[in-house]
Amino acid sequence: MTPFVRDQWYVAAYSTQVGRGLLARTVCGEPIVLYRTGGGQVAALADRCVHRRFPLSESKLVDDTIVCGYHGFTYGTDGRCVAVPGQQRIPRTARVTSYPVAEQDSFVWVWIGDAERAETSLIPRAPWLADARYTTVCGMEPLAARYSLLVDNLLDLSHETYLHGGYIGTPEVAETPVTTKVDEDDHVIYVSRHMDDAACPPFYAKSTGITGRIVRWQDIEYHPPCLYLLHSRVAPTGVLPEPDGSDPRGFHMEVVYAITPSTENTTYDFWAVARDFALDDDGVTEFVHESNRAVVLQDVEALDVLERAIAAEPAGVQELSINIDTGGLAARRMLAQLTRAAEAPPVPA
Amino acid sequence: MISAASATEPAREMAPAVTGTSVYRVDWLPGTDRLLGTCHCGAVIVADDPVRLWEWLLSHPDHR
Repeated sequence: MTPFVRDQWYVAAYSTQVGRGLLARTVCGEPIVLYRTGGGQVAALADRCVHRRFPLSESKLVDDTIVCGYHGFTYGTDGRCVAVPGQQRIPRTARVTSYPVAEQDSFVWVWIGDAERAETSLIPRAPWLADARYTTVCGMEPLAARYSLLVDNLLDLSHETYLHGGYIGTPEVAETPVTTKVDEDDHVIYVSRHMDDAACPPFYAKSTGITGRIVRWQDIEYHPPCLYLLHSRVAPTGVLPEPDGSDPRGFHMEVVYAITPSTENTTYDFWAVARDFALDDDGVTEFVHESNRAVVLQDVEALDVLERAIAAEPAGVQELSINIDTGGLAARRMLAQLTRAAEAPPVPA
Repeated sequence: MISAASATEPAREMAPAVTGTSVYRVDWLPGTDRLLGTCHCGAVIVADDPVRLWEWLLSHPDHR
């Protein structure tokens, strides 16, 4: 089983999902309750009362405190217990973990690990999701599979040809060689596939109106463990960006996934598609949302099946990797590297 | 056809910029089944198996 990578930021929710209610999420095996204070800040606390472990997410929000729904232990946004039933003295250990939290690019990020190491500058960016020059659709699908299977899936898009035919898959995706780069300093994996003359799959034909063959570029950036970006460019065959880098005749979709491990064999699959064309066309928006969600659900179905198959196998069964797996193998190595780094004792100052 | 992005859109680079100095690169050589791996020290390897290619890139003996 792939271990969780600690000392990392993970997406727990979309900002719009966190309000004046109590939202339960389990991130890297840690139950968390999220809510928004009256002042608009997001609070993230361990979702278990210290008293008898009742889930605080099944409790009551009173002003900015959570009152445990079982015996009334009351917690502030910092996790400290401010009231217990029937007595004046509040035990010194009556507090729950308060998680570092940040809102960025429409996501609520929580830090899993040593809070002393939490730096918001470490959160990778997906700026398109909160940019008025783009129209964004998004969703979240729970996955009954370990997160590493989704990483494998997204790092190797050749599966589009076989799993997503009729939406985004065409023969050229699996046929076109990829270039992989691994940035050891910034911990980013890049996988690029540029198709010069490809069939236009329905997802792009209907959203852009292109009727013929296309130039199709897929440029992946994976910022392990949580954020995956796919810069997708399509244009009629022969239409390339201008020498100055502008691209007025290209259609761009920024496809974003937040891959958040929940338990050892469940994952939150946050997905979003931001496009820079037909911004106000509600028909295109609805089509992109429905189509992309259908694609995500095809992945969910396949990975849930795969999880059950793998879980039933004895440990140590060998896989076979080929050229299409070059990026996925790099991702696995970097995840292992980050896991080891988080487990290492801090270097004395 | 739907209009593409506005011509006033700022210049953009589709292939994301790689900013680090320690970068491994693997090119799948077009028309072949072979992979060309390039270490950040400049060493190169051609292989037909990505597992062996990564093993070599990460531990090749003449790494500078």
